[in-house]
Amino acid sequence: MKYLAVLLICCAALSSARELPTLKIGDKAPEFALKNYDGKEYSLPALMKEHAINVVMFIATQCPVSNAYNERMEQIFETYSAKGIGVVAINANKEEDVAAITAHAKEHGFRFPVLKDLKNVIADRYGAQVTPEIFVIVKDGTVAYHGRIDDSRKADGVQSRDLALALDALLAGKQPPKTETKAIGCTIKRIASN
Amino acid sequence: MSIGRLFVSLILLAPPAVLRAQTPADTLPVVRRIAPADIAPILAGERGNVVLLNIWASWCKPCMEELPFLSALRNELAGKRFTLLLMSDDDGGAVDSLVRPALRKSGVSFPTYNLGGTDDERLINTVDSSWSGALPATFLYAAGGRLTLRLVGGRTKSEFLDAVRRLLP
Repeated sequence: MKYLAVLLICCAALSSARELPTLKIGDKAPEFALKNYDGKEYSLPALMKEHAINVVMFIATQCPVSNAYNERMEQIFETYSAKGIGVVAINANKEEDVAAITAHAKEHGFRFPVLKDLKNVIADRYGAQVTPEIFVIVKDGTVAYHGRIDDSRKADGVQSRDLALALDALLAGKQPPKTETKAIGCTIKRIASN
Repeated sequence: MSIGRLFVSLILLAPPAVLRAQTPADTLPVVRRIAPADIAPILAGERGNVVLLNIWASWCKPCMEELPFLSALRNELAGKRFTLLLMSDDDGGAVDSLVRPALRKSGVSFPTYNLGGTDDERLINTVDSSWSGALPATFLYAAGGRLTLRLVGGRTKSEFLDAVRRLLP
């Protein structure tokens, strides 16, 4: 029996059951229709009609890493919305309700929408694990960049502005220099049934 | 002035920060600063033991919730072929102000590590390239050194204990 248990561990997936598969580069981005904290609905099909490139950012109100990027996310919105790119944030944390999202967005002066993903349905479909975590979706609906905003939690330590570099490349009709990046962040707090 | 009086005068005149730096309790538990490249040799040194490697940060609420479980688990498995490695990814400058107080609060008195929080991607790819980078993250290694399980997100003591016991002889 002991050997069977060991064998089962050996053959099981390395990750625990709570981790869902994350979209890969070139995968079709699942559609969503979610409400902003002001009640207005945003859907991926509508965003794609309006913008050839869309940035979807999974963020949180309480995560210190996500919060370290508040200003940088605003800068991304300011710079790239002016170039025709759509920027939306999604909050999938079970502990952060619309009231908290509203207060957080107002406190930090977000001009981009922050959509509430109730029961983390969209986070599950994208396989988003961490905040902040970025997916860039291009005209054909596929993921062209996935990962971090940049390589430093401290704004004064940034050496590689990965998201900006990816967006610049895509605007120029090129492949991003890096399509997948990773960073330490907070786990997205999911509902228990998932 | 005698040497004794001079010493007392110097102590009394010293700024509070100097006096605080001389308090032994402030330097415990030992937190050794390492780079991601140091993890493999540390794990290699534990071959023969089942190893639970927990990567945490003082800013991470679920990390702080599970640290006492891990500390208790280590006590419970004392004498077994088991090693618990705690590695914080806090900024290196926060070891005195945040890391050690968090460890003390969680009942950790054994030596731990600090990764400095500056090279996330290298850390992730060194430990497990399939890991998203979400904290807390705990990695279970069999006695031969093979990574067998990744537990991401806050866990309970029984989850850790069950996973470790399956690998213990």
